[in-house]
Amino acid sequence: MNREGVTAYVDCMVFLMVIMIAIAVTITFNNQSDEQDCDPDDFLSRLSKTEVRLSDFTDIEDDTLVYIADVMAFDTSNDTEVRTYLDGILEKMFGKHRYALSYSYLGNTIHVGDMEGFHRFESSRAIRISNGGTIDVSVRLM
Amino acid sequence: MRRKHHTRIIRTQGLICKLNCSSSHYNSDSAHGCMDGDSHGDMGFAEAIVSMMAVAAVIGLYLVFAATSSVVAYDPLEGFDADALEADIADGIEVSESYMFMCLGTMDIRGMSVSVSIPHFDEKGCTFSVGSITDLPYSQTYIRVLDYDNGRKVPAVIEVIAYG
Repeated sequence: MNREGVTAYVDCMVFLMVIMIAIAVTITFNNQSDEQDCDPDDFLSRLSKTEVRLSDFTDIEDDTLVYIADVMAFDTSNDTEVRTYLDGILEKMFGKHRYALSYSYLGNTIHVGDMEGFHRFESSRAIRISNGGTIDVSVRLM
Repeated sequence: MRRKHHTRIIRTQGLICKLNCSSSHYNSDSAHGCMDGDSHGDMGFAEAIVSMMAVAAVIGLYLVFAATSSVVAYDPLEGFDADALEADIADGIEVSESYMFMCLGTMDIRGMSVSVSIPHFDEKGCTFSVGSITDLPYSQTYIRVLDYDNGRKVPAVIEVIAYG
């Protein structure tokens, strides 16, 4: 059984397996705490409840209360301040270069944030707007 | 083949080690150490030392990794409820300092600071502090949609800093 160092080889493999299992368990516990900190679904849920005056982010002289999803839908075809507003909230919440938000309505898509490539958390949802349609919003977090 | 038994003296880092080695193929190339592999997979003393150092290095790296992870995972704000702060921004920014004092009593922290800002509407915001400020801060950011003036419901960014 011990010819050509089989025992030492098996011993090494068992040790490596134990270490890998230990690292996997440690990473798993860490990810659970991260998930509590970064919840993109919770963010979208809260964002969809936001109500502002139409004149807050557009040039329209109208103080009607609207959901922010309506303003975002308007923003896809008209440049408004709402994307700067959303960028500011995301930066305060998750830090610079750690988020990417996109929303699309009637084929027009707006991207907020400059994060590229790998992301750890993602959530998407269709938010109903006042005219009966929906706006597709997705957020990705590092 | 007859196995030779001999005593070898090696000089390593100023230390003279006297090792009793057993080898079937003793030659001058291995005279500076005892790294003699054989066809039976037996380890000598030097091989055992190298193996032990490798195992110790791997375990050491894992312990450093685990310690670093535990520091990152340490959460003094565990059990903190941002909704219990009862933040109110309708008539100026207010939070429940009684809840902050309660946190000081129930959590393992020495001080707490809560900053509330309303993006676009009140960027500067307001900060409330209780207890003492130490060099060991731990921060957590929350977002809550709160009633603002003229019927608006806007997100307020609440940054809680706990001082351990």
